[in-house]
Amino acid sequence: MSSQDQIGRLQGLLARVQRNAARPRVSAAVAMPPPPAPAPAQPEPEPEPEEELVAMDEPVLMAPEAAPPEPPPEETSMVRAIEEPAQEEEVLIEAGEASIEDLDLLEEEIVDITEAEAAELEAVEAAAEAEEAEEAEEAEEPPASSRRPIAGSVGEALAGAAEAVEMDEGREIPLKTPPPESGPQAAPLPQGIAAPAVPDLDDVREADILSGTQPTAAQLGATVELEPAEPAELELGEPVAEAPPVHLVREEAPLPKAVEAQVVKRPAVATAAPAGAFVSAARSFQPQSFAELLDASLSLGR
Amino acid sequence: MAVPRFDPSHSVKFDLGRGSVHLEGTGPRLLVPPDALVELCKHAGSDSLTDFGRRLGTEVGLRITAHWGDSGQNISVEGFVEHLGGNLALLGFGNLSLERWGKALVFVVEGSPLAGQGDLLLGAMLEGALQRCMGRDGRAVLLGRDADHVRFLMVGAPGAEKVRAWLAEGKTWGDAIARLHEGGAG
Repeated sequence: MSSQDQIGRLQGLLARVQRNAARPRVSAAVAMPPPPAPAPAQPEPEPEPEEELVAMDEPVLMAPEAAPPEPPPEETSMVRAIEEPAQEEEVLIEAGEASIEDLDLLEEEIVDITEAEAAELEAVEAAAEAEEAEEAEEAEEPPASSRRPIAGSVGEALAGAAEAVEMDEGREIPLKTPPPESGPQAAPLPQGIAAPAVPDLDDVREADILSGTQPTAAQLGATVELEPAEPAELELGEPVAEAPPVHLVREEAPLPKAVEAQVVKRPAVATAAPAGAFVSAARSFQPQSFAELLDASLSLGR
Repeated sequence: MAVPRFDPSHSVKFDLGRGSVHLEGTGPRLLVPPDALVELCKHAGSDSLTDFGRRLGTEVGLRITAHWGDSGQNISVEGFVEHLGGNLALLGFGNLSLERWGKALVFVVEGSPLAGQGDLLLGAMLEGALQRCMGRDGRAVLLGRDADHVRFLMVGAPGAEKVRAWLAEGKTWGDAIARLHEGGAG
């Protein structure tokens, strides 16, 4: 049971107690539990014709300070409806599904509350409500570094998880950082040089594309979809005879288009064989003495 | 044994008391004006002039070999030009140099006082000097001369006849030497 349920139940109980307290009390018949040993033989007070029991889930509400140390004779531990002479109605306070009759309460647990005790109880409940309100405010704005509240039981943990799921459905969950893609990474430009603006291809006119201008560096790599050419049938007619140019000095017959030039290229030079061969050369004459030169010269013309 | 350099020191001695001029290693010499000699050569005839020139060349050869000793056959070209040119200079026939055109040996005499009229005499002197120093019989063929230079080609007798014929045909002495190297017969 959550605290809110407890608060709601206590508020209902408080309202009922206040309502009953407002009624005129005829007699304060109190059914006291029999004392343990000393007076077992005391005569029982005459039985109450009707008792109205207030269901209390937990006896926590019976705070020690709220309970009087020495209950006066009219104070009892049983809360009974003070019956009015004219009313025979039975008032049952049900807590949950089980009524107070279903509870096996001991006689000690049945407490009669007077108006003063009811006032004290109300004050205690008001203080509890104020404290709970403060706790709720504190719980609404938890610090960023605070820990999540720990559930007291499994049921509370499940309820909290369900609420968290409902809250998550309403908000956008941030996506994780996508994995890096392979490929060249753009190098950062040096300082003082601004990156060229990338033109929007949608703004490029068709005339600009067909004008024959060279694409810019930013346009390189961009895909430009061109419309397919319309199919057309072409028929080749007879070539129109053109007048010979005037500036030609020598008349040359126009070359038929079917004739193709045959180019004979020189084969590559084989580096293994030398391009030239040494055949002979004039022998140099270097006489070592005058006699050798004289003999060579005298021998000329023989 | 190396050939000693040409040394003209104390080569000419003038004995004024006796009224004679002496050349080292030889007898008395006579100093005559070149014009008189040229005039004599003009009337001497070619054979007499050639003989006269060869005798002068032999005298030069004797002086050269007197300096060489037994190593004259191995003398270098520069060494031979130095000695032969030095001795011709002592006689007053001009400055001698040598040109080699391939295998052809060409003597060049510059500053001869005999001028063009003494070319035959100079050629004969060169032939006599080579015959005396080197023991070879060669012919000095006049190739040409300008105002101050005269060229003589040293060649054998057959080659000398060819070169003279080519020069007579009007060929230049350069073409004659080239054809001489080709072995052409005419």
